[in-house]
Amino acid sequence: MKVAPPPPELGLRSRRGFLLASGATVGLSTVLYGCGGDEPAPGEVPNLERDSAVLAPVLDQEYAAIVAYRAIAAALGGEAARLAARFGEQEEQHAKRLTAAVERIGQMAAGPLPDDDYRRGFPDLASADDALAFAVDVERTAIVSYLAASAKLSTAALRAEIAAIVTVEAEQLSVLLLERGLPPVPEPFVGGDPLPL
Amino acid sequence: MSIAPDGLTRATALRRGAGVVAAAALWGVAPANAAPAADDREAVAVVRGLIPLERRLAAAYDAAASAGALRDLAGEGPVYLRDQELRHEEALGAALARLGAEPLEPRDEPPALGGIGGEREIAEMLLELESSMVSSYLEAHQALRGGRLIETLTRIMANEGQHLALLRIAVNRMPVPRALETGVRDS
Repeated sequence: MKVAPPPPELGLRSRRGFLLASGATVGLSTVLYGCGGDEPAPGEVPNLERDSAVLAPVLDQEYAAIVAYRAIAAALGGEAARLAARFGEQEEQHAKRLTAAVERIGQMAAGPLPDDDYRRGFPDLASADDALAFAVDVERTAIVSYLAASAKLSTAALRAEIAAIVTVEAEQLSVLLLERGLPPVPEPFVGGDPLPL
Repeated sequence: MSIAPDGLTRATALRRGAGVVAAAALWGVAPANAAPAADDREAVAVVRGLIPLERRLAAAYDAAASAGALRDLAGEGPVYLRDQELRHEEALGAALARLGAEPLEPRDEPPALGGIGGEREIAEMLLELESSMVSSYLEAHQALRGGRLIETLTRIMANEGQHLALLRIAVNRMPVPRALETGVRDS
């Protein structure tokens, strides 16, 4: 069966790369590994449909973040506005990567809702501080969403991609906290202390 | 950059794709096992590979504090980030215990920052160590199955990314230069 490697920009070595089945049919849950003689991880049988379902709310959250950052940038001025615009562009890249990841495992990725559907939930951005506070909320929401997904994904390359994205969300959060004059790294475990294993 | 026991720098080993588990072998803490992890023994090997890296980072922030460098880092100075690295180490130690593995005994470590001086050099060294740390955690995500251990490692990796952002600010670089954080060195 033809397989696709993980995205090269993750920097994962091809010998340990995970090759994912394309064109998965309903109920397909096995993955073939064929690069360099690698074997599937014992006991790990990726569930591609489930992984797609796990990523769906994360992708929707990114679409919301894209619309949110447009509103946030519009409510800010100068360097802060440029920062918000840049973070919005990064969220767009996240959405593209998540879409590509879902499609790479042979599933369909949902597109965004109309912008107004997301805007309905936004607070009033009457001041720059309102805008920055909202941006902090956007990032915290993203982080919670990604952390929940990280524990549930059954495909190793997806787990790595999620980890690389949520690390950027955390970096963005730190910068926004600094902009608000708040401690930029308030906790050693982003999103709160880990639950017992 | 301080030197690992066999003369190869740890950061170089990681950049050559030796990976977390091989890095553990470098420090003599676990045999290298290149197969993707799925069972507890593999999880133990991966976690044992991460602990010395956390210790090294903690020692590096300590050394930065002793040198009087980066006093404004995170608003509290390097010891604040050192303490976060120590919390990471604790969590990884707790993971080892829950996996039924022996704790990793501390070893004599080479000097964390290799005796270099200026504030900018120290920040660059810390950036290098944090970048390597992030790439190690990224590899761990590939090697381990899902569940709470992965979630813990994700939370830690994200925190290391936050340290990266602050160190980039300290050397006047863009704090969040790219959409994915893989531990690649800043250009």
